[in-house]
Amino acid sequence: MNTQTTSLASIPLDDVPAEDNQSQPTFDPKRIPGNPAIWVGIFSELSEFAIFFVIYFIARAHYPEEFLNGPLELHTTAGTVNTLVLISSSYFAVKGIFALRNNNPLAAMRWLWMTVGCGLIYLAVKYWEYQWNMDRGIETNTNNFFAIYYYTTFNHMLHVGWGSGGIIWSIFQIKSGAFDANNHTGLIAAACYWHMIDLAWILIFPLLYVLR
Amino acid sequence: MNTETNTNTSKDSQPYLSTKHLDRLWCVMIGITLLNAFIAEKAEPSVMITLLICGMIVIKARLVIDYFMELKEASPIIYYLMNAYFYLFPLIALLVWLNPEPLAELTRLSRF
Repeated sequence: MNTQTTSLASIPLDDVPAEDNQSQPTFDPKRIPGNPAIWVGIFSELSEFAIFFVIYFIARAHYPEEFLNGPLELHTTAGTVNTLVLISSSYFAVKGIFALRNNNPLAAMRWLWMTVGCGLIYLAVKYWEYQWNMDRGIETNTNNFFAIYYYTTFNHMLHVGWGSGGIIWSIFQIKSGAFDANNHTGLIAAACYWHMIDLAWILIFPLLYVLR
Repeated sequence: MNTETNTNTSKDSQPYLSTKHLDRLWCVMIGITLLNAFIAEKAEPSVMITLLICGMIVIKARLVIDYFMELKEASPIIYYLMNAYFYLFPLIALLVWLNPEPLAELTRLSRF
C-alpha cells in the first residue's frame, strides 16, 4: 500500500488513472492548487461568509417564526436554477482545465466561456429574483430573515461578478499563449476561486431557501 | 461543434478516465440539488429533513473540494481546513434547528 501511494504521488496528477483518483487521499504537502496567494484570498472570503452564517444562526435562534416562514416566500425555482447554474459552471471550469492539460486550448477556452456564461445567467436570474421579491413587497427591512437573505445573497452575487472577471482573464491568457498545457497555475487559481463561490452557494441555498 | 465534441472525446476523455468520473459527479450534484428543491417545495420541517439537508450540504461540498479543487491530491492542511468548514456549518445548522434556545440566550443583548 505504501509503495502504491509513493508511486502515485511521484507522477503528475494527469497521469493518475481514474481508479486511483477515486481512492483515498494521496496528499502531496508541497502541492497547492493555483498558488498560495489565492488560498489566502479564498480563506479570507470564506471567513467573510462565515460571519454571515453566524449572523444567520443567531438571528434564527432569536426569530424562529421568521425563519420558518421566510423560505416559503422566496422563489425556490430561481434559487434552484442558480444552484444548477453554479454547479455546472464549476464543472465547465474543470473541463476547461482538463482540455488545456490535454493541449487543447481551443476547447479549454470554449469550456471557460461556458463558465462565464453561467455566471451571467446567475446574475440575470438573481436580478430577476430581486425584482420579483420587490414586486411582492419583500425588501431588506421586511424582517430579519429577509435582511439576512439580501445581505448574504447580494454579497455572494458580487463575488460571482468578479469571479467571472478572473475566468475571463484566464481565457485571454490562454488565447495569448501565456497559459498552455504545462503552465497554467493562474487558471487553476481562478478556477479554485470560482469553486469557492460555488461552495459558498452550496451552503447559502439550503440555509435560505430550503431549511425551515 | 462536432469537431469540438470529437476533440473532447478523443483528447479530453480518453487518456484519463477521470473525465468520465467528473461527468458522473456533475450528475450526482444536479440530482442532490433537485432533491433539495423538492424538499423546499413539498416537505414539512422535521428532524429527518433537517438531517438530510445538512447531509446533502456535506456531500456536495466534499465533491467540490475533493475533485473539482483536486485537494485530495494537494496539501492536507488546505484539504482539512476546507473540509472542517463544510462539516462545521451544517452541524451548527442542525444544532440550532434542534435547540435554538442556548444560542439565543448566549447572544441576548440584555446579558451584557
